[in-house]
Amino acid sequence: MSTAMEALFAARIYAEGQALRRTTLRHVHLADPPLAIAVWRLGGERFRAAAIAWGPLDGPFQLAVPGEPRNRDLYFAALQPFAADLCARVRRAAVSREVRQRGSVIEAVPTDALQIVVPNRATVSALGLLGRYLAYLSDRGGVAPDPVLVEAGRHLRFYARNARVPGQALLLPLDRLVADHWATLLSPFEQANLAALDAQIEPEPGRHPFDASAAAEVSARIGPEPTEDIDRVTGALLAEFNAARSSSTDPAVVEPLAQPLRSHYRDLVEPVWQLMQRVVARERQLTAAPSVSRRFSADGEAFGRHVDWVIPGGYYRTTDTPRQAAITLRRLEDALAHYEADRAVEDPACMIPYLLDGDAIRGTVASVAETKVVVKVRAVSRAVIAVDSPDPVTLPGGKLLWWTATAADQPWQVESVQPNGTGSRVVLMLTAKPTAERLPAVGNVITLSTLCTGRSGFWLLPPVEPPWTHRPDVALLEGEPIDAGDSEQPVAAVDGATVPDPGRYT
Amino acid sequence: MSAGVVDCGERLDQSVVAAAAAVEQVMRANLLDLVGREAAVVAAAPAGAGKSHFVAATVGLLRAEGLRVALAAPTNDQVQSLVVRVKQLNPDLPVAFVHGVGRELPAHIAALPGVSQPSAADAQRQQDPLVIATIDKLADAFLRNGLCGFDVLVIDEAYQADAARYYTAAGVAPTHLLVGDTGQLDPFSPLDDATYWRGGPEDPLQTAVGVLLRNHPDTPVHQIPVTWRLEPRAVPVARCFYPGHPFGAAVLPGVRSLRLTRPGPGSQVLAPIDAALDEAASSGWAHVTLPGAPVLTADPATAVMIRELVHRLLARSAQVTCENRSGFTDLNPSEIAVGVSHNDQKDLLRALLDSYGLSSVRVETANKLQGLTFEVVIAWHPLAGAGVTDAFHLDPGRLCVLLTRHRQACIVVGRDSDRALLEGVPPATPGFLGWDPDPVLDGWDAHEGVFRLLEPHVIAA
Repeated sequence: MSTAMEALFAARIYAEGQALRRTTLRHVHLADPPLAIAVWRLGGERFRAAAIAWGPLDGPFQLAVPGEPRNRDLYFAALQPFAADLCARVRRAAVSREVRQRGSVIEAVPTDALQIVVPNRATVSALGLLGRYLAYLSDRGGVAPDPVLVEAGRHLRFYARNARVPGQALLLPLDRLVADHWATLLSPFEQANLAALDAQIEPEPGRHPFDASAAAEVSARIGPEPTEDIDRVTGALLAEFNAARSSSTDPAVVEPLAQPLRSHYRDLVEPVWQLMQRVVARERQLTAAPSVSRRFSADGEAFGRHVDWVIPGGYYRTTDTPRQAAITLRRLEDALAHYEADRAVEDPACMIPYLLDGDAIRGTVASVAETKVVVKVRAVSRAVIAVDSPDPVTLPGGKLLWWTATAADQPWQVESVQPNGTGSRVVLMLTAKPTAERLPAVGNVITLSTLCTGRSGFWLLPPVEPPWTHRPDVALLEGEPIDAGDSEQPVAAVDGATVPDPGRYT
Repeated sequence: MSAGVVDCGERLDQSVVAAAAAVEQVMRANLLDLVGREAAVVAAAPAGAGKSHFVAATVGLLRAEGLRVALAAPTNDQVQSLVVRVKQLNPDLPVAFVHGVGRELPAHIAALPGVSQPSAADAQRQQDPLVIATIDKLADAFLRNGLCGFDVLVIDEAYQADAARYYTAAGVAPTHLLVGDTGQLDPFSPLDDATYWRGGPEDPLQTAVGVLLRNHPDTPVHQIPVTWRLEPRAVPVARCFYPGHPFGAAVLPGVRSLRLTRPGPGSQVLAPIDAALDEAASSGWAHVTLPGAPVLTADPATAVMIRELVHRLLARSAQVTCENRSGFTDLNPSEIAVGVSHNDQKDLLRALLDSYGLSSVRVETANKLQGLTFEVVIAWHPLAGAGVTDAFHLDPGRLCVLLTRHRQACIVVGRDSDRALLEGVPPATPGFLGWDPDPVLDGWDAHEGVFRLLEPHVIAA
């Protein structure tokens, strides 16, 4: 991120009264329609969903409200339709396959993986927690949980973990989608509020975007964390619900009693749903960058492998092994480098920060010549070009740059930089055999940058058996089941004002 | 015997030297006792403790015992200098340098007698007794070509190596010697959520030493109590980065000296630059502060100031003497380095220095300067002109590297508003179960300490 670019954006947004696009292309796949999910939690219970809304984003949502989410029976009964629908959609998406061969590996890859959109990154975390909880449910007490809950948990866990991959589009938090494509006056912390972002992009007429965001931040309720006023209403409705059901979990009893809570959450979800529809519709208008389909195809591969593992009953570990963590780190770093390179190489607006930061040059090709140089012991042919940049260039000799037209190919090496009027003349030598595709023509305006879109070298997976240095001296203790304590009654909240001796907390 | 001892005994603090020698002797004895077992010895060192010398000498000792040794470090620059150091101390020792594509040794190193550059497969087939490679290359050669079966794996700069890389390379030998500088930059990742695994035993970004001690807490850790690179005037600042690690300078006060000719007539316009150079020559430190202003990362004014300092330093015929020289000798441009935090700062300075014919002056980011030594260093302060503090710029490792590369003098260049960034309450930082360090708060403390110690050396520009 270029400081100069951010300063320029801030000044222009302030002056023009509207957020500005950072990109000329959309760099993320958007399904038509994606499956949308919105979640609300209880203020005092971060690990249970008090309400889940879901459905294709082009239509109305379905709503699951357990009433008392801390009661296991009510919770599971409410989640069942959501879980069943999610599992059915995942399985359906995995049916249609195409054969893809990479090296000697042949895979049947789903043609269209299921895309899920959520309002923000906090919802990604909430779904990850929900997935982790459901995926490892045991049959403790002799009662086996509905298998569809367990399967849905594994799907959610996969989606949440895969959301770490830079550029992925399987689980798309819309706050990130907007922040990546728009420049606003909001700080990174403020950008977590989708309503504030949206208000800055389309402020009410006559309202400055800064004021529009501030107002949206105060009035909009996005979830999954409830604000204090929401929690106060929820708390009262919950108390009424629990008192009326008298510990009953009979659907015939609790269904009608949960109606007030359901309409409370319906009112909360409705504006969030409309906001998500508006955001997705706006971003879909932008043309997708060429690499979007390739990245979503890679998402499809991950999705296919997940389905092929989980549907027959495969398990995931709750935590990574040192080997898995090492592999994941490398995979994510590779994905990040390629995503950033793809964006800048394909989208001139995304290249500007690199130009400003001295990591790229843009200019007119003044000459193209061939020469001979000795590499090791052989004289080989090399191309030399002179590029006239209208701006002063401060690149050191020896720096490697890739021409954006051949960014996946071989780099050019900076030979010299000389002042040229108010700009600079940069002489570069191609580090490979000159071919027609590798050479620009005299008069072409070209961009060269430090970004390479080519695949990095093939790396081998580390050994399955960890070395002694990565194995503990003493075996770890077995953990207790993840749902241990679920059957216990929730402990009543303590009101600090009524505690007789507050000093005991110190 | 340790680095830098060339008939200069009377110029060294013998008590410090003897203490360091005793620790090194214990470490080697400890390591030899463990050979053949899955066990390790850790050597924790301050900046300039003669780690490379210790490593090279220990490798010679292990080879003398008939043991097959793999020697590794994180970067190509580091392993190349290890080849040189091993050959300097053990001229008769054959060295097999296993490298990646296009990473051959420079010609002058490759030409050293006994140095070969076999492929990994050849090194294994020939059972080369001493193989030197980067950790990545060693891991790749282990997986791809089965290069293994060593008795001892020695890793230099082990606090810079991460657990993920160490995972594969660790398999080449049962017994390990891990040597590193605890004050340098920790392994890092450009990912937004690089702390995802933090605190867990699987964290791939913990240091090689970190994962070893976590799984095997009884592993002996020896603290080397000496710095050969830094002189006594530099040690108080360096101590800010090594809490709980006592060490002293090997060289006695006054042995090293930087001498400059007097500014000639007409140099009034360069008065602040001359004042900074004089302060650095007389006290070993200067802190040049430009007027406070929020500026771009690659601030042209700061870059120009640094170029002028380098240019003027050489224009005033700088000469140095030290424990290894019998008198004053001219300061060579290649003995000067400029340390920065960002690549765009590096590129700007490189272009500015080249335009003055100062191409021999090294300009590098802090992570590339790790393990290197220069007579004079000019450090672009990480907080120079920053509007706010953040984890990257507060990282104590970055400041430590920038301020501990010099033998004679270090000139820090920043802005007079930088110190105000540390006024008030430090930022809230996330906590992680099973992980105690807090680089932001540690960095906050280290930066405050350094500002305080540099206060007498401030020169307003």
